[in-house]
Amino acid sequence: MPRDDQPRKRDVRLPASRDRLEREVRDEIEFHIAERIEQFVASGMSRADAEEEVRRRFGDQDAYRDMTRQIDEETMRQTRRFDLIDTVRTESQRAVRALARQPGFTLIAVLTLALGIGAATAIFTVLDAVVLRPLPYHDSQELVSVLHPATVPGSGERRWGLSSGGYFHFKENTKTLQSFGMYRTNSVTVTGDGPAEVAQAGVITPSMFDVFGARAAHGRLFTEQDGIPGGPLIVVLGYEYWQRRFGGDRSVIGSTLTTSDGSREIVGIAQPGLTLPMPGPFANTRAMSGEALDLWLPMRLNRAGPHWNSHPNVGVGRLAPGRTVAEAQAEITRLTSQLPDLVPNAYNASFMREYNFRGEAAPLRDSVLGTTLPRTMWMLFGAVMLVLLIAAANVAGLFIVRHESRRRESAVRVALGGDRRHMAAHYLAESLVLCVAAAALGVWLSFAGLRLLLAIAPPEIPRLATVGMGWGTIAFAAVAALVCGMVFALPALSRSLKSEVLRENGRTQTASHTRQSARDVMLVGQLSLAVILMAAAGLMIRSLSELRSVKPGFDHTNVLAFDVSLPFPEYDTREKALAFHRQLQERISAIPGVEHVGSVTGVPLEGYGTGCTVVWREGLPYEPGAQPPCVSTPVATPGFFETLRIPVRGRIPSWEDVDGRTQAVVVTQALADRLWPGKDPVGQGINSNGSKSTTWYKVVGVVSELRAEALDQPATEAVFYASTGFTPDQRSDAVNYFTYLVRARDPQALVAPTRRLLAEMNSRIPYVNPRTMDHVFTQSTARTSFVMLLLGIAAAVALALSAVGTYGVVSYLVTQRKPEIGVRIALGASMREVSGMVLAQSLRRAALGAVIGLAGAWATTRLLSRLLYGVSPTDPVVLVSVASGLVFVAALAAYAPARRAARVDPVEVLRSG
Amino acid sequence: MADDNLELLRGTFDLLILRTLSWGPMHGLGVLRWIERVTEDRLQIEEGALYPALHRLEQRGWIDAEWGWSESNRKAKYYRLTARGRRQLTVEISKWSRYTEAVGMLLAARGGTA
Repeated sequence: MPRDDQPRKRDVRLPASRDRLEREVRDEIEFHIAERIEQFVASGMSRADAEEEVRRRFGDQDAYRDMTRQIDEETMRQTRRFDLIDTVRTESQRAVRALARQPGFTLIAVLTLALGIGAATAIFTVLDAVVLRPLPYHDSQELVSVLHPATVPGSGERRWGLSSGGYFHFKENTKTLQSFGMYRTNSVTVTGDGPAEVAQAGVITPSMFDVFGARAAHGRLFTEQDGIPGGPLIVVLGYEYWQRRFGGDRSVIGSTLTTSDGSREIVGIAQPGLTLPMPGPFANTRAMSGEALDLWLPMRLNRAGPHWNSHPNVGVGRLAPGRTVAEAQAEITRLTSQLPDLVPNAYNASFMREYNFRGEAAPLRDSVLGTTLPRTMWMLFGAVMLVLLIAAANVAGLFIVRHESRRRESAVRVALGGDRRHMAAHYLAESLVLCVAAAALGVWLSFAGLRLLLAIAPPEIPRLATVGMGWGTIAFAAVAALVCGMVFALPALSRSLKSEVLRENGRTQTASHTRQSARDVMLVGQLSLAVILMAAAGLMIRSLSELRSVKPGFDHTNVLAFDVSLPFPEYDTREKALAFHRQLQERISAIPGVEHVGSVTGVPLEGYGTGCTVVWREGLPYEPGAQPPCVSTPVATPGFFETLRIPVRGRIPSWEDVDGRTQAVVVTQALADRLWPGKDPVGQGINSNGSKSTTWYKVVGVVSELRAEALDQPATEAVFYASTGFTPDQRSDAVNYFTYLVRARDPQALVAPTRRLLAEMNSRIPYVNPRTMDHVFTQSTARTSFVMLLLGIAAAVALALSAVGTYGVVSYLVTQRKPEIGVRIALGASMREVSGMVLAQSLRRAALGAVIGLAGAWATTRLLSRLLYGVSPTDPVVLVSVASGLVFVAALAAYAPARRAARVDPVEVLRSG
Repeated sequence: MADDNLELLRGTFDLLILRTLSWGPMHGLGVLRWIERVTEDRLQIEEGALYPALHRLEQRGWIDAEWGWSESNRKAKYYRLTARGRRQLTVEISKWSRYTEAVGMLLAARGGTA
């Protein structure tokens, strides 16, 4: 009887299989039967009797055998499950120990990968929040935006919103939309207890809440009654605003909120997080960023009119069940073409024709994101994925070298009967442990990187406030870790499962040829990816420098800007408003250090040119049927041109002009060229009422060239009025909203004194958004510089990783060829020749990489074309300098190993061989 | 077989096997023979039932199995008590003695009202 008291390891037994289990049970029972029969025969029974007796005693053989086999199969399943967990634990512990034994390899591999994974994760997080995620509304895929694209003479393609006339027409006649509404945003000054503050309000038709499927947190939302003029003034508070200002006190429902346009009864609190989607031109910084709005005001419209040709409202509808966007588009186009018949005082045939005035229904998400942004975000994501790929190629190279050095060890183990599957599990565990560590570090890095990213991101990217690390981020990093873990283990796995040749000795080079060529392919691949990234970054750098070298036509240095909005009931006449502005300007200019002060309704390079007003010429009517151009018409108080140092030919309107209502205006040269080509604009008359009107504004000055919309746009066509009525216009509520501009050597130091001054003059007027014009200027190119910075970082990392990769490959090559190099030196090759040979080898790879990369850049940089300014996507200067830069860096990286090759001692090599 | 053979009580088979194996590794038939010998053939066991019982004990990790060669030079599966099995045996024994004690007390008690 074997007396084996030593505990036996499970794995000494052959692996279980169903067949084996069945055979074993059968054998065991057969042994029992045979022994028993023999026993009975020995005690004197006949064989037949003995068999009969044994069968009787045993019972139903088949049943017991089945029962036993089932138990064994269950045991096998349990054991396997247990073994798996056990294997994972022991293998990961072994992997950690193995990696800790080579801290250099591990550190470099983990850092390289973490950089790649971190960058990709950070950009993925932004891509996910900004582009991929659906809009935060109930069944948001059913929402369509309804807008009016138009080709504005002199301004080009614009997307206007809806007019009140169009709104009623669409709402009453649409069949494809089950609900329909429109909205705009507005800044509202809230006074009352405490300091005045500016709240962001959504001005919406009552139906809008239904379209979005929004609920009230408390109280009620709007009813159709609330949208009819003449009723009581009401307001619904945004949930976050209610929490912030009222501490979540439910008793505010029914009380009044004092705003700049009167007292409003608070009727309800909206659901948390409710905001408005902002298709392109209707940007409200707050709503754009995805943050909740503060107040909800009902838009009160008179069905009977009058309706104007004014399009400040975004229309949004929800598709009726079974209807498609294409059907809605067809319907909106048809309804739009009917507008001249239904609202003749706002639309006529010539307007429709000259402005190419159209109707557009599009998926709301597409309207909000536009086409450039998703493309840019995907492109940036592609760029960081390339960096990840390059990082992965480097680490894969490290793994290959590492396995190279362990080949003999593993070959010995296999030859000695080591379990190949076990070894495979070990390699897999090693690379997985490494990748998981890298991913964890990468997530941490991306967390830090994300903050940086958001700090420099241009404000026009929608939903930026919603960007944050979430499960999507973690999942992305986890998938990246798993994929890279498997991939790195692949070469090792394929080899450990193949039978390894033991006879390969240390000097044989042929067997490692395939591995070396795999590394070569990876090196050339990563060099070419680096070229693509560098080309993209180079193009962006050139674009930005071209853009920055554009003369905006004003001096943005040393100017402070802040916003002042006069509350309406208090400043309800032109005189009151003018007196206030004049006094504020005088008191500001009395502050020591202030050189100039002025104010304007539209700050250049900041939210300029969304609205426009038509311009008629005195004594020079347009041809019959022709439409007047529509241009921006900001109000600039005396001091504005001096403060921004905008050169004006002719005269600048003064306070005397304002007081005396001399109707003096300043126009830009670009507009003058359109209105009076070849003539002197000074002295010409213009207005916005029509050629039959009797009041004409006189052009007294001309601004030579001003780029107020954007640096990459043509010179702005604009009329600067010295003053308007200063009373709110029912068509746009923001007339009293002025931005003050103050020139001083240290504009930042003026924030405190100007804030104090405003509070002294009227504490109910909030001091809003102080910033320097330098900041405004920088922000205006934020999109270009943002993309440039990200691509630049990606390219720099890619270049650095490629240099490391080159170094690694060339070093390895030198080590491999040491015997050969030794022979060459022994045969009389000079140090120069040897290092030159090594250098030439790496340069060949770099050149190949550069050529492939250039071809790739040629094919892909056109994706950038919308972001480029003043440079072609295949700019030869950029492409050539990028390619030569790469070759140069590759040469630098190969220099050290080349020197090492030259110092090979032939005697030592030959002896050891 | 004599009529006074006892039918095996449910749940006690495990105890018997564990106890038997506590004397050393044995194959299934060896376990049976041991039980027959020490109980002087008083227990009536359907022999086939031994195998599901053994394999169940193995599944629980109380006994371990290994193939070896019998005295008759046949391949046989030997079972051996594991450390866990040994602990389990003491538990089972104490359970059993408490049970028999309780039954004994009941049987020894006199009739009548308490």
